[in-house]
Amino acid sequence: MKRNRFGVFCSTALSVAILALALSGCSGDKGAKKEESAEPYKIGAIFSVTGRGAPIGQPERETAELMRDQINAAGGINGRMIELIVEDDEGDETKAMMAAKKLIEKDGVIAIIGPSLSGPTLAISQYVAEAQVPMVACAASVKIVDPVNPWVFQVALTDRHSVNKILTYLTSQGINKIAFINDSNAYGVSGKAEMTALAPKKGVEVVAWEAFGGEDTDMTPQLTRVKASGAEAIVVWGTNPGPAVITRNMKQLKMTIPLVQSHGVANMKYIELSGDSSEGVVLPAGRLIVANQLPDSDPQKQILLDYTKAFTEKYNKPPDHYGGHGYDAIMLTAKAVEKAGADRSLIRETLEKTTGFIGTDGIFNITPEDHNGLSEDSFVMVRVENGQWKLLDQ
Amino acid sequence: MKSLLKNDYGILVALMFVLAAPPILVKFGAMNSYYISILIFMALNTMIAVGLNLLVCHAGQISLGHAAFYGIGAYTSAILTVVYGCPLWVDVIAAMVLSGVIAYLVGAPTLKLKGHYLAVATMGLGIIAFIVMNEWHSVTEGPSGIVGIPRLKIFETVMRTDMQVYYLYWAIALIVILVAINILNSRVGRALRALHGSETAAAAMGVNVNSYKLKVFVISAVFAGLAGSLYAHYMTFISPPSFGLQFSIMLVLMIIVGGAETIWGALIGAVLITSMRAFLGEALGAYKDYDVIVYGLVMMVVMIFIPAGLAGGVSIIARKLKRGSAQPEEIGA
Amino acid sequence: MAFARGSDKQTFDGPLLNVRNLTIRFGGLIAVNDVSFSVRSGCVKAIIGPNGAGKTTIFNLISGIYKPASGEIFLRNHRLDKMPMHMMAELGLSRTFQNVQLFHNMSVLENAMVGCHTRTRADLLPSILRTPGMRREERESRECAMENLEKVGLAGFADLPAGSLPFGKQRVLEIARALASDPELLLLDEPAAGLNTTETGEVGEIITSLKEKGMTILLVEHDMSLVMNISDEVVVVDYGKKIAEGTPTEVQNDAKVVSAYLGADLEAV
Repeated sequence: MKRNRFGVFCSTALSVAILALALSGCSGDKGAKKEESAEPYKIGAIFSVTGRGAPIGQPERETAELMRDQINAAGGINGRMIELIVEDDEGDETKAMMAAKKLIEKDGVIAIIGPSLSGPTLAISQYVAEAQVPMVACAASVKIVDPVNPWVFQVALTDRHSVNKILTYLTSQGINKIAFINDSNAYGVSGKAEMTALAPKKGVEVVAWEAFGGEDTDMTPQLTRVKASGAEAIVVWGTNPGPAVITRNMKQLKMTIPLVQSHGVANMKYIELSGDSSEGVVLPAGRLIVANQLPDSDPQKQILLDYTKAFTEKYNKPPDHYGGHGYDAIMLTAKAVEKAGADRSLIRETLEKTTGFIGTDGIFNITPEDHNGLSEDSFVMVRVENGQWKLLDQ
Repeated sequence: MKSLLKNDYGILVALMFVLAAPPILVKFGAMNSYYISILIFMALNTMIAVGLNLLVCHAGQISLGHAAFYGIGAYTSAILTVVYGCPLWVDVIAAMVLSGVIAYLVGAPTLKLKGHYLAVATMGLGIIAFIVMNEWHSVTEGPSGIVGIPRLKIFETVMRTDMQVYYLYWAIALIVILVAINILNSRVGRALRALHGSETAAAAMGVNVNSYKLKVFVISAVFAGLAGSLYAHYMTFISPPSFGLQFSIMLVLMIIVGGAETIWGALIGAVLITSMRAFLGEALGAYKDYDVIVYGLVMMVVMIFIPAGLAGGVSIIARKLKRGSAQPEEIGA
Repeated sequence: MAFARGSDKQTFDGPLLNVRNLTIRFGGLIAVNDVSFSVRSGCVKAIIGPNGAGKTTIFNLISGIYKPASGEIFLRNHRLDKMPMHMMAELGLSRTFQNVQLFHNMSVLENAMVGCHTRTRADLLPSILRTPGMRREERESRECAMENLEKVGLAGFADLPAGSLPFGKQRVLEIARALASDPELLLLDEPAAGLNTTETGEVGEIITSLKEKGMTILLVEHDMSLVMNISDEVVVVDYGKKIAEGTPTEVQNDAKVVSAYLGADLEAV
């Protein structure tokens, strides 16, 4: 087909041109190998600002930018400003990888905070280790720090902490036969795995395992089976809206055994979705949602109140614990940079030696064996009373 | 015909030279090494788009479920290497074979469908594959994904740096393009284009229409499975959201935007869409939050003003220019 | 292997095409009702009849687009009516279409090369590897396609897109494409439909030259002068039934035929 000859040729020329275009932004950027004292510290951030993780990534970005402004307004770190370069991974692993490569190879950041979600975090963990850039992840999967990746830290409270906290609470209430119902997403499945591993150690027997899909609108079949199992309490592991459906269904079925939810629904959305049925529901949560109920002796109280105030002033809405992850990630990193300067390995080593760092999620004591550094004490148990969170006595 | 053949292979050789440029630019500091990783994703997307181009543009069958085969390839490699310690490259072959076998089993009944029905059926395949990856915990580890997928090796050299992966994956992508060109310039390729033109006339000429549709579906699935396997080895981690409906649609976008007329449309589409994914946010600077909207707008503009796709649009312009320069193109009726 | 048909030409001495008691219904309408006829090797036979008489339906039954409700169709001793279309081509049956069905996305030459499909064997693997056998086949296909384009006078247009040809040339290209499969029986579905007098004359010449070379042809045609000029035998159908069969002269004088056509067309001959 002669008519194609020239066309094909031009198409190729075009593809070459696009390639060239794609690469044209390249000249000149040589990364930040040289450091001059006047230059700002470049810290990269990867958050799921859009896409499936947007409810998590947005408050994280907002908080990180808020804290950057506060630090810079106070004169920066060691007299140098922080330059925060935020990339949106859209909750997508490929995009997260592209973002990580850009931050490290093109922008030459000294550390990365985020990603927001576990998938993107795990997707780039090996790469940041190979590139030898410390990363403080905001996602919750235990897999992020177990096994330990020397370059990857985690600020989020994990399912392991949460399961432990719940089991401690249950045994203190004299309950040792429970039913476990999980969301079939990554969060729910991870909670189930932790419960499977930890319940026997605390002498709690799970007499019924049930699951639900994120789109399910009726959970009565699962609850009916739970009713027949002789469970003394129900533990639900999921993210909105499924857990609220269970809460309402329990009321409809007139089930009176205690309902314990996970920290995945420690937000007002859950109370809104389940309405009156949520009264009396107990769950583990970070201290942020009950900051003003904390005793003055609580070391986190001041930080939590300050953060809540600043965030509310700037964004006209209260912060949630995702924002809290963003807070802890940037503050931990800033703290390490203050000691280590721009040296990536030194930042890593400093992070690994963090003790007694007071964040929103809890008090961090990081060791080479534990790159999360929080404990189950970072959680408090709260109960829904009159549509508000009420701190339970420790 | 001969000249076209010469040209396709000529373009392939030209492309090899173009692809040799980035590493040189990086070496002399004229280009940041970060772009190499984008080029790697371009190679992967090119492999899938080339297969899809054969299926959609040349054989006229639609698939909205090709992310399924990408996922099947990735999961096959991940599970074989991580869980069963399968030797490297053997798992890549296995990923291609399994993708092909599943395409065969799924394609045999569904390819008898036409148009919208085929689109919906293949979309169903994509959704089912995603559900299986997400829910079959004992095999796929469900939504939390598979970590620790080993990098590929050539003899004893581990493909650790992006530069090594870049050479390897683009070499494979070029082979995929070569295979596609060879198929198109053969009896098989003519049969495929014939059944696109008219199934009845193709059958009347002795083309076993169902068998050829199945063949091209399997080929495109094998390419996607290959890309999936290589993706898993590059990322070292996979989880289900990478292989959902969104990716299937992005693949179809690639071939539409690139253009249906030649196999090079697939390359152009893969390069363009991957670049937009990677660079749009950056290019928009302060307005980077609107990148999704701009992305959509670009697609609409391409479709409205250059419905033949970029490659097609360029050849139309080229034809017009050429007509202007004396050579009569069409015979007057 | 290539370009040779394992044929049973020598061993079979009945008619090349044998159509027996062919019937098909569309809903309540009996479109073709108990039609039988045969075509001898080397003969040019035409099916004629008024509009809607069922000519093209008979054609589509023979070429496999429709399956008959009852009746049998044999090409030599191979039963066609139970066979998928592409197998018929393998046996040596090739056709053109009333509403031209070219592959518009391909060049004139490539269209004709698709005609060689049944005469070549190179499948995926040889194509991908471009084996010497595959390349030889390609060369032969190209030569064969070119020969057939020459036969119909399209050799000069080989590299043009098929869709860019004027309509008359598209019809002729369909004939070339059908010929490229080296058919034993060529089915021409209204080869002159939509053509002007000059173009019709050209098609007539092509058919005559094919006939001289011994090609067996079955055609449906409206243009009576063309039919009467080139046909050895004519079958007349009306309301799905065969009403007459014989030489052109015989059917022209058949009372039933004349009344079916209300006299007009046939007297003009």
